[in-house]
Amino acid sequence: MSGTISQPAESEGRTVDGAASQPQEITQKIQEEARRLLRDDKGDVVIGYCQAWDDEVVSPCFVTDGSQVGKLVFNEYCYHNLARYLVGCEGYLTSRFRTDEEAPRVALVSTPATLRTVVGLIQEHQFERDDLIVLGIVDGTPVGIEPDVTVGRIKVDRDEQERVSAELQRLEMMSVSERWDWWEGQFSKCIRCYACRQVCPFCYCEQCIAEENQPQWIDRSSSPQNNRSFHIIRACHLIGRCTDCGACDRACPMNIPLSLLYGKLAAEVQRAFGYVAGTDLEATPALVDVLASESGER
Amino acid sequence: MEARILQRDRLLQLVDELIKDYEVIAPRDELSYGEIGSSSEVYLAEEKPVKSLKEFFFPDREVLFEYLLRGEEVKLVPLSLPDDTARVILCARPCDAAALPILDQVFAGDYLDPSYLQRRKSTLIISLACQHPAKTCFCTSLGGSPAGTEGSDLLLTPLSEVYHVQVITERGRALVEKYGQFFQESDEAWERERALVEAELRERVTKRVDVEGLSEALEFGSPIWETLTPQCVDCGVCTFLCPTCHCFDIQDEGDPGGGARIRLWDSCAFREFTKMNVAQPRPTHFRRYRQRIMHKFRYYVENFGKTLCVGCGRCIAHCPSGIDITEVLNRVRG
Amino acid sequence: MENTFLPRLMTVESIISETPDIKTFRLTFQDGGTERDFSFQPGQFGVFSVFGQGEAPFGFANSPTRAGHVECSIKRVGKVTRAFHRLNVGDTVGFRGPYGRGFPIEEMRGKNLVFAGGGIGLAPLRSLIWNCIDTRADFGDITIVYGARSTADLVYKQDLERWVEMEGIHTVLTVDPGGEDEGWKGEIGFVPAVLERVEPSPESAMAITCGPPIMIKFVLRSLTEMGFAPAQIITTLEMKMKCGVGKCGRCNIGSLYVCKDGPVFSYEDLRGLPDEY
Repeated sequence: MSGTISQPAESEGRTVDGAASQPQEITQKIQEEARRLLRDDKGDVVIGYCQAWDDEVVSPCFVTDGSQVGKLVFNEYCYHNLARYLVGCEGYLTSRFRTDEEAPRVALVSTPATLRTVVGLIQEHQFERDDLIVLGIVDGTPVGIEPDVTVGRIKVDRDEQERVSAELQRLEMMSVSERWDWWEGQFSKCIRCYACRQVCPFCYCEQCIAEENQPQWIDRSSSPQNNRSFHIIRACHLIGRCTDCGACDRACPMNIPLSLLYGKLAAEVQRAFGYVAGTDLEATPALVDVLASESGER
Repeated sequence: MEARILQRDRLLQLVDELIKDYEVIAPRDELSYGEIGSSSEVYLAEEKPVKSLKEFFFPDREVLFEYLLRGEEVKLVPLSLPDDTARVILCARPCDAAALPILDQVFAGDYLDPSYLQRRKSTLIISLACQHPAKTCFCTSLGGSPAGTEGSDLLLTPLSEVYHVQVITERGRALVEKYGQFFQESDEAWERERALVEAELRERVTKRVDVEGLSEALEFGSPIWETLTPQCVDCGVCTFLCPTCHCFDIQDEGDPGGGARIRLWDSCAFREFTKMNVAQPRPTHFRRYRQRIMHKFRYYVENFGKTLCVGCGRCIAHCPSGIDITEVLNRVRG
Repeated sequence: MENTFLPRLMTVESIISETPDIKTFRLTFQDGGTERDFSFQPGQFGVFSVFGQGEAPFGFANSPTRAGHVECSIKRVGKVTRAFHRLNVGDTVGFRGPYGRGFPIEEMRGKNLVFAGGGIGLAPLRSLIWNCIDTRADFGDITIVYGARSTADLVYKQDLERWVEMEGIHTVLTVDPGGEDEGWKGEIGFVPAVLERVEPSPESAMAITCGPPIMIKFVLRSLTEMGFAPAQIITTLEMKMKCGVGKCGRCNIGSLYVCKDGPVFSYEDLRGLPDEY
């Protein structure tokens, strides 16, 4: 990586603390920053959102040319975790289909959950902070990273939080066997399309355990047992890493409420270790801490 | 056109009668079609079920045979064919029914798939015209219609007061004759109204793609593929929900004592699909997406004279990245 | 109606360790009859399985002129091939096939034949070579150029020795530079380069090549430079396959399925196809 990203001046591009910005203001700000980065040759690609086939649908987009900047939008439908496009064997920052010299300078439109994801990916050494220009949208929750430019300020979706927590409470009230049956019912809907995994920035492994066949940890067909194994193993691999962005839940065509699973895991990690993924770049990730202390390194 | 009329309030009674004689499959919830035990379980919504009908002919997980392992010896237990309990699929979407004659090219053409054929043979399809085509629908571009008859035995079209019942096949005629007490003869007035309704429903399908000359316009070597759908995440949503996608994998699942050889859905979007230990002909995303489009709109046309798409729009509605295949096709055409 | 996916059972009659990672399996049908209800052509393949581990396609390595059994050579690379390498004599495997189009033997009749093989790519060629030897009068001169990374990686060593000694067959063996050992009497160098030194005439000839993709690429170039027309060059392709009958969707090159329309293709066929193999 070139590592030659110039930081914008401290005062530039900051919104006033407190007040939430209108989506149009955020859109405008994103376009402004994108135009400037491309024009001044400070960035090669801006990863953001553009309008898709309906007013209520957006699509991740990759703007490399100033003339395309007008496509960039921001609205309430921008829930995709764009950090997903940075990593993995074809990721913008980690692709193995090009040389390091060819690595593009990437600017990423980042919602609060995406910001926390970027922190996690840096902690996991997928790339370094200076490899990325962060166009951040904040909501007052801790994000563990200072955006290069704050392009907007949104409100936390309290309704959604309350809905999830009420659902979780309802599940907690169930007996263990009732809860097991409930989840079994959810996982039995799974068609093994792997949309949950494919949209997840933390599922960057080139060889996922779901496809590993020596040994064959998980059989591939969509039986209730195989689906349960897949989802439980995936969840275990995301403990203390998942930033609860909700992308998997929204991507699932079969409406499996993965937010409940991952929300529960995040809550347990916080309860047991006082750790919230993605909120502190310097912190040792929860499981690294546990594993290290179990192996006597701490 | 041969047709009957079914009074609106008698449909549910007919369903309950059918349930006495057949395994009846109908839209059961927003996700899928499924077997119903009573007419009250039919779930009629504006949106089509997330999953298509293909799983009832080409299941996502199908046991090909079982094997028992005893030391050096192997005993194979061939599966008996699906029993030929007659099934009726009720309130099928015309696009889902239209997909079946397309799938027949694969499983009932030069190669005959016994279980697929058995299921096709034992299943009668009563479609229900779509009253609320979605924004994502583009069936009319593919020769279909919200009131299309392709692949159905009977087609119900809701008119102002009644259901118009179009008899499409011999099997369909046998069914309306068997349950003759529910039906009355249609007349010219009903036929006129049906034609008007269909014309109006067709108008509501607004998304279009021009398939005329499309297969020739799709060029493997075009540079456009490389930048066409960078937002695609290589998941299997579009292929698994598609009523015509039919690629599969074969896997052994079991334990040291025995198990089964399984046929399961697979997807050209997955890296593993073509990955060998020594080589990978489609290592990058654009090659995999190109395969999907080329297969549907060129290779299948070359091999079978049909387009591998009915315009149901599920791949658009459920794509986690907001990709619209009609826009993709229009862009490829330039 | 026959279930295509239901395999026939075969017994492992013998296992030959060809190289550190290649074994040849000689298999016989458990239900008896071979000639009666089973025949194949050189270049065709079968889908073989170890129950519980899965299926994989392998070309026939023996000649149909010496039937009564089936032979396939398997390199240990993945789950199924590893399972094969763990088998013992007497074990049971599954087989279905034969699938695909074999070598165009009718077209080869009366011609001089040039074989260029590398590594385990000799397997399908071996099937054809023995077929031609057994019907020797039907063909002209036979030239065989075969190479491997090292002497330890040469397969079918007994066959190679016999071909070297056989009259009317010109057999040249080679190993990659550095792959020779003491007493190596063959050539040292890559197959395409050795082929160029041997310089077979394209006159009334056909060339058949199989080996690693990179070798095939350079052999095609060498043969072309020596004057072989694309229609005179035959090769066989390897792709990931599951069904073997053109249905599962993964082995296509354009609208052709390697399992059904191949795996044998002429260079002329290949040049008209998308570059995706």
